[in-house]
Parts: sequence; structure tokens; C-alpha cells
Amino acid sequence: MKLFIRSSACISSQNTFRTDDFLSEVVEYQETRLRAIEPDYRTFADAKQLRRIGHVIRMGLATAMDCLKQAGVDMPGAIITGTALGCIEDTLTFLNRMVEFKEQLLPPTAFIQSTHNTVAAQIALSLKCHNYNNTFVHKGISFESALLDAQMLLLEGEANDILVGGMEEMTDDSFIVLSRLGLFKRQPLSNLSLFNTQTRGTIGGEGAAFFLLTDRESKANLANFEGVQTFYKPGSLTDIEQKINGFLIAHSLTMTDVDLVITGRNGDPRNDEVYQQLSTSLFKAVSLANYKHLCGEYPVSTSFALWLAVNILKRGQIPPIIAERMLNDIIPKKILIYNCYLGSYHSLMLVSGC
Amino acid sequence: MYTEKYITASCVISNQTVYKNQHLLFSNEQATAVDFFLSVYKHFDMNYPRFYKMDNLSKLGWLAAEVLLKGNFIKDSYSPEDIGVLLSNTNSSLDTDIRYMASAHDIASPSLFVYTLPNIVTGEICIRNNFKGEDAFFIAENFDASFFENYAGNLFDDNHLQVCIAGWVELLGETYKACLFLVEKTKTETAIPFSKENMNRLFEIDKVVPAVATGTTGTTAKENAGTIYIAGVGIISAIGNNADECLAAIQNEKAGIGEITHMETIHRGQLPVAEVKFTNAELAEIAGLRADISRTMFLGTIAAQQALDDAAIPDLSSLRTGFVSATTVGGMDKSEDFFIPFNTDKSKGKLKDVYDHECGSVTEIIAAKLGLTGYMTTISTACSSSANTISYGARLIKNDILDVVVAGGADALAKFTLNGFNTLMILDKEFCKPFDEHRNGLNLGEGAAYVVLVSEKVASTMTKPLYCKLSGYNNSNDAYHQTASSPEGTGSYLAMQRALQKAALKPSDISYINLHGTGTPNNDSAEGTAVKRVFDPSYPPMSSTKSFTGHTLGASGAIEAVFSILAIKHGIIYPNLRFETQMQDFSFSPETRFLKDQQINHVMSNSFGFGGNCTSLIFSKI
Repeated sequence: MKLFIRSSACISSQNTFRTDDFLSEVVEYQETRLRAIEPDYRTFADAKQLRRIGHVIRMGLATAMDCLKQAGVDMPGAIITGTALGCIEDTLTFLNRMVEFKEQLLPPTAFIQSTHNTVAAQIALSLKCHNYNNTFVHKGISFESALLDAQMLLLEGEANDILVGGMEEMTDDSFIVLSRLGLFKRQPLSNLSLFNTQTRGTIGGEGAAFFLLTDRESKANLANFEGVQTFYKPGSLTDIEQKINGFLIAHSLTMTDVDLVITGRNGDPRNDEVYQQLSTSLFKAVSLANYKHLCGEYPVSTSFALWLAVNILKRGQIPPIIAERMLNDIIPKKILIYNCYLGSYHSLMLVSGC
Repeated sequence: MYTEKYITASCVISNQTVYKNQHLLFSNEQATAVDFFLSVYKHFDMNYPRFYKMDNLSKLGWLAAEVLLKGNFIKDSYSPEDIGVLLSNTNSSLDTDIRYMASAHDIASPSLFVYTLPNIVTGEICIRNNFKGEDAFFIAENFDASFFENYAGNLFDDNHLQVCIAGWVELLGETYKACLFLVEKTKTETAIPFSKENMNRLFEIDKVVPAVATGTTGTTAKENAGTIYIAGVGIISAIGNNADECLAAIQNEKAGIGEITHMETIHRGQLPVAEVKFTNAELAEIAGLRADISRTMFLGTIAAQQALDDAAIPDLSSLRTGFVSATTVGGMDKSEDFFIPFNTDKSKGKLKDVYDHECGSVTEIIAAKLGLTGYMTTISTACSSSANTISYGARLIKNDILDVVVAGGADALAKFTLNGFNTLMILDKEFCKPFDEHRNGLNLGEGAAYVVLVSEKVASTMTKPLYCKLSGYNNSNDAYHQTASSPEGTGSYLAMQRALQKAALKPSDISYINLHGTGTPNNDSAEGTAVKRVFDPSYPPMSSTKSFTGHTLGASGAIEAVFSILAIKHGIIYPNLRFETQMQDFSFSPETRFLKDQQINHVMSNSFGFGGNCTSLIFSKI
């Protein structure tokens, strides 16, 4: 059974939403926190609703609605989201008020919107969609877990036209906490020179991306969705190589069939060591690309990478800004996305041209 | 006159595989077409010597009809004239025509000649079953579902037929496909509307089921496609620190609700909660974890370890074992400690208190303690979270990604949730009274529960008896309001109805319902309406065990799944405490007694949450 990605929509710190341009004009930042470029949300929800819902819900709702519109689908067969921190803004708002007002006279709104499934729920509510609805909240593989769920539903024949997405917001407080935990570089820098530094830490990001997965063939499909796999704390580089080879073999492929690998390099030498090693071993004969200098590091950044990959396949061009090492001029037909999240969670996604 | 029509059964035969009602029944991968047909004939024990005389097209159609009609269809409840057969294909009888042509070069074979008409296959089916209604064979380039919807539909609407076997029977050489639908006017529990969309979907089943799963190599999808068994359970809640203690408390009608003792909050002495009766230090010691991490991790580790020990799966390390866990607020109890100093000074607050804020951290810590290193993930759909881990875990096995899954959830009481629910004004200041006319809200609780799900293959290696099987599950959305349930109970109705469909059960098959039953006016009224829509007029016994454990949020689905599983194992039904007055809108009330020695075959467990997330699970006796 073949699965396809019919459409995709993405909000990020680049101009990726509702534009025909494909990263030809790159937005440069001079700080370690990249904020999402906000569209005019009034197209997707009325002012009353917008006032009530937080940033991550807005991003999720807008990308979900745009994705459905592009696909020409009114009612998805399922809605599945991945988000590690969920509605962290509302969560911290309620938590801080609770501390500040000593548990008295608290307004409920922030609490109501704080549950991790709020984005998926608000999409269902907007569409009056009674179908399957699920939310995965597992750190750096939240989006991949959602994709796997969607893939299984399609293979089971339980649903079609599945809306699956990843979304994450960064707030002032979460940025401070994550900075204190040592995730981000201490000095401001240009995001475009992220891979030229040797200092510890990366840059933070946020965003949302949705995809419409289907088993229906159509000229409009962006790409074939071949599969997704995750693995946790592999023992060694050999272990990682075996997992990647095993994943490709399960799809009757080897590394020589892959035209492009998009990696999750994030500018932190501790994190990037694995990509460095692979680039001279398993990945030594394949073209390589990176994306986190464009969108920053966040738990579901692989949803940005998947948006990137399906657009490369559909448009037949690789934006020069993502190229790390191009070995030829071949228009990619098969793209592997490999991400390693904070050293523990590894994920593989494979897409190919229709 | 227009009448409702339903597809009450379907059968697909293609690629050496037989499917009925979307389930794979039989497969014989190596066989040629003619050998395969014979192996199906033998496999299903069809004693009908005439089969051997048929040409291949007739064999294919006849076998599909036999499989289609086997089981629930009661032929004698219709008169023969009311049953019709409408078939279609693209190559007519070409396969036999070619064979006949070849024989004609020598001595023309009369036995082949009689099959050089495609409508012989409809004849074979009618002869076998004594059907005398309209029969016809149509030639079309592809299977045309809308043609059948119209043509058969008219025969029903004009009252020419009460039953119709309709579909596609195509064969040429080694390429063949049969897809037959049984269409009736009366609705059975597993019936779906007779529509072109449903026909097209069922027609494609052969492309859906033998799917190759992602990633991991090993056994094929078909090997794991079968039943999912429950091999172990673990639980810790306000009424006990393991399954036996919980059952004893229920039998003694001893609720776990009381005053707040562990949390520093202004609501102490005001709002009753259902606490696990250990301090953090005591729990940490039992769990074997350091004491300065989230209470949720202690509870989760204790229950998950119990479940894994209880299952005692032989040679676990050789199996693909996964961990799917749920929580709503993760390490929030520690985050609260962090944000108090952080709020006044952003450089303050101990980082170790916020390090495990994420829900995924809870899963990670438990998995590490249990020594599970394979696939793991975390689900958070508010109060249905851990019910969803059980169905997701089952599907990971069905899709041949894993062999064993530990699934469930954990949530400790936190000031965040206590204050949150308090602002919504849905906390009862007294002990909660689920499904009572004068119910006044819920009591929050804490706890954790996990089940061990295993594939058929793993089950066959086990020496310990299995608890039961997971026969049905469904996740539907109410799509009404972020926190409130719709007055019609749409989401819960759909979850229950579709879970029954998945399990191929009738409402009357359910022996007991473990209600979501929070005790809030809104939930119990919506859930009651949904129960009425599904079960009226005959209601099985039902109760809310939240009257014992409080509402344990992300753990509640799994805690109540464990109670449902134990109900089957021990033949018991749980009382709904503090019930006094029947709800005015309903003709039913919850069970108030502890019932022993019951024949419990199928238990439905309901879990509904914020965001309209509604999930029903059905467990069945083996």
C-alpha cells in the first residue's frame, strides 16, 4: 500500500506560510531565539476565538486549516498532533498566577487551554470533526509518534485523509529556563553562521507544520511517504548505522538509492558529532543538507524538515541555503531525514518523489 | 419507496488471501490460482463435490459467496424469491473461452463449453443456495460501486429484493479478484450503510491489510494481525498499592478519598482528594528511585513494574517490547517548586525541579527503571490519555512493530490541577456522587496503572494464564466545547458504538460498563445520554469506580481498564458508592452492590476528556 503526502503548511521563523517562494529570501536573525513569523490569523478564526487561544494554538490552527484547504479536503479522517511542551504559555500563565495570587481568584481560561491536546481539540472543534483525535507529547519524537500513528491508521484502513502535525511555542520564560539548562549559545550570533561556530549550545526556535496523509493517488500529491522510525539511546555509531541501514532495507533500499540526507545539525558541537562522523562513514557518498539555522532547535523541528523535503521533491529544487555538501546536480527523488534530538532520540523519515 | 440498506458482510479473495469483514481469514502465499482455490475449499471444510467441476471463474465466485454467507446470515428467514445475485467483471468468461478454444483444436470439451458464459457463476451460487430472486451479470471496465448502489438500491426500494449478493468476480489466468457484499434491509451490529463509498473502501481491503509495517524486520504483518491479549496488570491508587489491595477495598466499600495531607495548599481541609497513602520518600524507596523527582514517576514506576512482573513473559529480552505511557501534567508537582522562586527572580529556582517538567520525562524515567529500551512514546489527551495508550499499544502489535507493549498512565496530585479544576467550579466539597441526581462535582485523585499487551504469538509461549483480550476500542471526538460535553453525548456515543463495532459485539453482549462517571453534572448527564442511545432499553450493570479512587486524570483510563480486566478475571461487578437518587432523565441507575460470581464476558470501559477526546475500550473473556 502506497501512502502519500497530499499537502503541507508550515509556520516558522522563515517565510514559509502561504507563499510561492521557496526559501530564496532567507530571514537573518542576530539572536539565539528565532520567533515564528506570524501570519494574519483573522483569516482562520474570528476575533473572539483568537482572543481566547494562545500562540501555539493559533499556529497549529492556521497551518492545519491551510493544509486542508490546499488538499481540498473538508473533513479529515483523523487529527493527530505532536508537541513536547504543548500549550506552555497558558500552562505557565496559570502556574504563575497561582503562585502570585496564592491560589485565590484565578481565572480558568489559561487552565482550560493548558492541556497538551488543545491544538488537536481546537481543530476538531473548528471543523466539527468527530473522528479519531490523538496527541503525542514525547520530547524530540512527538511529531514522529504522530506520523507513525497516522501511518498505522492508513494501513489499517481505519481512516483516510489524515491531518498530522507538529507544533511548539517558545515563551520568554521557557527560553530563560532552557537557556539556564544550557541548550542555547550564550552570545548572540547570526543564525546563518550557526554552523561556523564551535561554542556550546544551539539557537532556539518554534513553529508549526501540518501534513495531509492519504492513500489516494493524485497528481496533486507532493510526495510518497515511505516511512518513519525512531530509536532511543543507541549504543555506538555502528549501532546508529545499523539502525539506518535496517530502516532502508525494510523499504528495499540502500544508502546508494538515497539522493539527499537532511540532517538535524544544530551548531552545538556535542550534538553535531554524530552527523560529523556519519558524513565520513554511512553518509560519505550522499549529498547533505541542514535546516536548523533556518528554524532553530525545538522538539518538533523535524516537522519543518519534512515540509522542506516534500517541497524539494515537488519543486525539483534544493534551496542553496540548506546545502551542506552537494555531490551532484541530480534532482532528488528520495530524501532521508535524520535527526538526533539532544543526544537521546534519533529519528528517520523517508519520502520520495511521486 | 426508499428503504435503508446495509452491507452486513463482505468477502474479498485476491492475491492468495481471503478476507471477511475486513479481517484476513486465510492466506496461502505460494499457491497458483487453481491450487489456492482448492486450499480455500479444504481449509473452510466446504463439502460440495460440484466445486471440482466448475471453471476457475465459478470457483472463485462460489468460494467468495460461501465465505460471505458463512456464519450470521440466516437464509431461511427469507423466501428464495427475495434473494438476488448481481455480479460484474471486466473480462467476462474470457479465461474459460481461451481454454475452450484450445480444446476445440482437438476435440471440443462440452464441460468447458458450458462455462463460456459469465453468468454461470451467478447460477452456481443460486443453485448452491436455492436463491430465486433476480440475478444478473454485468460487464464493466472497473468495479463500479455507484452502479451497484443505484441498481441494487432500486430493486430494494421497489421491494423486488430483501437480500442481495452484489459485487465483482474477475479472473484471467493467475490474476483474480472477487469482492462480494451481502446487502440487507435490517441493520446488524456490524452493518455499515450500503453506499458507494463503503463499497469502494471494502473493495480495497487487500491493499490495506497485508501491509508492511515500518522499520523493524522480523515476522510479517500477518503473523501479528490477530488477537491482543492482556498478560499482566499493575496498579497503585488511593484504595490500594496493588491489585489485591484495591479489590479488597472495593469489596469492603472503602473509598480512598479524604483530606489533603501531602500538598501544601490553601485548599487543605476544604477540598477532599484521593491520595495514595505514602509520602514521596516512601514511594521513592518502593520504586527504587531517588526521592527528589516527581511523584508521578514514583507512582508510574511502581505500577508499571508490577504489571511487567505480573506478566512474567518468558524470554522478554528476545522480544520487541515497547512502553507507551500517559500523563496530563508530567513533572508539574516539581515545576511548582521551581516557579515560586523563579517568579520573583528569573535566575532563581533549582533547575533539577524543572528538568523533568515535560510529560516525556515521566515515561523516560519509568522505562529506564524497568529496563525497557525499545520504542517508547507518551500520549496526552487529558482524561482519556491512558485509555488511548492501550489502543495505541495494541495497534503497534497489530502492525507488527512490537510484540509486547506496557501501556498505561500516571498522574500525581498537583496544585496546578487542583486549582485548575477548582476555577472551573467542578470540584465537589463533599465525597463525589457519580450518576446521582444530586451529584455536585468530582474529587481529584492520583495513581497509576499499566497493562501488558501481548501478540497471539507471545501469548502462545506463556505459561501463566492470560487475563482476557482487548476486543474493541475507539477514539472519537465530541467536537462541542474545549471542556464541556455535548448534551447529546455525541463523542461518547460514537466511542461506545464504534468500539462495539470494532469488537463485532451487540450492546446486549456487554456484561458491565465501567463508566467515566466523574460526578460532575455535565459529564454524567452527557455520558448517561450516550449510554441511553447505545443501550436502551436493556442496560447492563454499570458503575463509576471514581467513587473510590477519585478522578486520577491521565491515569484514570488505565486504572479503570485494570478494574475492567479484573472484573472479567474474578467475575465481579463494582459498586457505585454514595448513590442515592436516580437521575431524572434516565430510566437506569448504577449498580450499588459488590456482585460476585457473575458471568462477565465483555466489559466496556469509558474515558472522556477535555478537548472532546472520548475513548471506549472493550475487554473480553478468552
